Amino acid sequence: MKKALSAVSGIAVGFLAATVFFAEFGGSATPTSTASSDERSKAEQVYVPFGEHDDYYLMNSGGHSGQLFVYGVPSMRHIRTVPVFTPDPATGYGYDAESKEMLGDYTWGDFHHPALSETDGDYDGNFLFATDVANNRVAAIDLEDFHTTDIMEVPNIGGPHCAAFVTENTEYLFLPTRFSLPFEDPHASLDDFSEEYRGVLSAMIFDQEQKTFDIGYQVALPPWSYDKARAGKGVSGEWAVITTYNTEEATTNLEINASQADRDFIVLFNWKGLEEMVANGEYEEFNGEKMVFPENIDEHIYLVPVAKSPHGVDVTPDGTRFIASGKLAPAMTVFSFESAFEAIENEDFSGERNGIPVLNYESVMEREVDPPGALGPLHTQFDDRGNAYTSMFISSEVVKWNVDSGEVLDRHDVYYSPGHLVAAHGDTVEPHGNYLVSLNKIAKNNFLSVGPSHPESMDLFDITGDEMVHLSTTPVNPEPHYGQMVHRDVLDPFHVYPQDESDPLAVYDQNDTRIERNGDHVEVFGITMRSKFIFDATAERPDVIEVNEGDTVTIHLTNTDFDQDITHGFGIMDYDLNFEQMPGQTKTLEFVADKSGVFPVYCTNFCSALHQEMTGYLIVNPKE
Amino acid sequence: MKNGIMIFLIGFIVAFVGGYFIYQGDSTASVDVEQTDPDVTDEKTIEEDVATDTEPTTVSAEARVISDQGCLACHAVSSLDLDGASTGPDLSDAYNITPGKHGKELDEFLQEPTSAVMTTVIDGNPLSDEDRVAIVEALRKAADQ
Repeated sequence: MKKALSAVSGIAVGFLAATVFFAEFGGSATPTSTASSDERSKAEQVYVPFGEHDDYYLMNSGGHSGQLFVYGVPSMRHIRTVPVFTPDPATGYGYDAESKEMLGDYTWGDFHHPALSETDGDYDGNFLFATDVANNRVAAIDLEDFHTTDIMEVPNIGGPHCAAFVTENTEYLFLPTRFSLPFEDPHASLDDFSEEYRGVLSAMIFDQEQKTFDIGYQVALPPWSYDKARAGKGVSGEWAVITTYNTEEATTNLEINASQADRDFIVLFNWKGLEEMVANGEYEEFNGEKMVFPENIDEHIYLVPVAKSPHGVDVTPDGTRFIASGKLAPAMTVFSFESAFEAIENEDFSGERNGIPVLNYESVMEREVDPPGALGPLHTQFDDRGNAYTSMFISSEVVKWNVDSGEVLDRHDVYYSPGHLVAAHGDTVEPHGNYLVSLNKIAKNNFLSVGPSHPESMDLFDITGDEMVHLSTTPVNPEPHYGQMVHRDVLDPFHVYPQDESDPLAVYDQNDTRIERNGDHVEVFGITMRSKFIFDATAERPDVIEVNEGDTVTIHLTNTDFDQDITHGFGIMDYDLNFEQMPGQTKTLEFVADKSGVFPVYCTNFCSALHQEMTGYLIVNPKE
Repeated sequence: MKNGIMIFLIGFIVAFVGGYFIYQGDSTASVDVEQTDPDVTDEKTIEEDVATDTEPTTVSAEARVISDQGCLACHAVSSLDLDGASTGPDLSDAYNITPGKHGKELDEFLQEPTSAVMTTVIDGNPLSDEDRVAIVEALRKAADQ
């Protein structure tokens, strides 16, 4: 009996001790255990550990910052800002001679929709194009080094909002006009808007070898506002669509006056047909460009009625349909390209506007999809399973629906007021169907407060399942108008500029460094390297440039560190000048030495342990 | 009495150890699972492979001096398949570019470097004539690749 008692008490005390030592009580729960396992798995889905890379590049519009923002998906980390339409002291873009000339005197741009170059309807990773709504410019960014390589100012257009959506093999980028402008007489009165104004469309060509833009032709469309555009794919490959509002031709208080008509239009045009016409000389010279007047031709340009004040128009991956919606209407409208071609063939028109045939809505419209309570449909992206995802600006949600059946499959809130959506390869012939990002205009109280002006935001969704799964929310710089998400395998940027012995401005050998004077022009052929400047290796002080007040000074600098991620900067104190040279690169700075004195120059981009010592002087001798 | 104490102690130990497994069983089990996770094992194997790759058996005896002298702590020599840190430049073409970049031949540079960082490195641990000649020869071959 005693033995049993000893055993039982031993077990009891032992178990009690084990409980005290090993059991976890509620009060000692770790912080992570308060997150549900669901939240933990979402965190795991977006976590990219050190040593690994994100799956996708997200190329985002920088809006009125004028720049391109590059994010990684799924981490949503901001990786790089690429200056495009606006000077950028961090890289010296707009300061060195080449980029300064490219930017002109502009201090800002309004970067709207980025468009990656395409081959066979999918991103080829060669270039990214962008438009500047504010100053009628178009830019190309070379994706080999992620630097802007050409900017062109396009005449006759008034705000290429809709972007540079490219045709299947990047034959053209289309720049329509948001603000119609006086056409013949630059001072034509707003009272004569309908007669004297036009909304010109520009068909741009980009030469990928020369890396330069040219204008193929222009079309003098009626004085309306042209919004979003898409090129066709496959069966519709030779066609393109543009939404247009203010077909009321209002000239004031557009909020009310441009919202009068029940229907506005989609402009449906055959870019290939117009190209052939222009090649045959069927155009008029206007202000130096080949101008086509729609009212003078009886083919290639048509109007399709659409619910009032449309914004986005998107083409399905198979190219059989285009989807548009009125901003103020509750429904997405699916139109059939084939029905449109048939209506054109049969001259199935309901009338004409400004000399352009209007196709019969009933003949071209295939389906109206109207999710109850969904308001403000804007933009549509696609997955690889026949589904569409449409942003609802007013009701702050994404609606997933099937293109073939029109059935609404899922709806999910976003935070808040989504403009564009971007899915992985989501506007190409082969969407990847895994990630969807909602580009939101409003963040409200989602992040730490930084004062009255809040960041914009992006919501990341996993769209592989039947239901969309919201993974993360990220604050972003203004302003995400549109983005494109391209798989990392499509891009292969280089890291070091190769030595170019044919470049007369490049110096790779200290013995070739020199300062040449020709009248009042001083030209420096120098080197930057860890951790010194060499402007003239034979001089007593190789890191000094001495000039006279009033001289024009040209400084060519070659970074001879052929070494990944070793970039040098060159800033001149009190001269408001700074630029960078990437590894192996030669760049040029030009200025007039218009004030005398001793001005330190220094490396502005951290380069080495002795970066702080990488300095020199610009000495400007006063006029005698 | 002794028996009673022994039985009490045995009971205590059994219950204490049993209690440990009851309360901590889940976490130890998951540790076991992780340890036997084939992916983790694979990664370890890969890491070991990478580690051995830094001194691959294919490296010539001349090139071995570059790793023996610690150059790889800062430099890679990709043309010789020598992995190294990325602190300093890849030395694949150093033999050719040193005269233009630093104003003296590689051999002289290694005796009296013109950059502050390399001066610190060499002053603290000068190369023997034999090692320096071997390094120059290895980098000459690297530049020929």
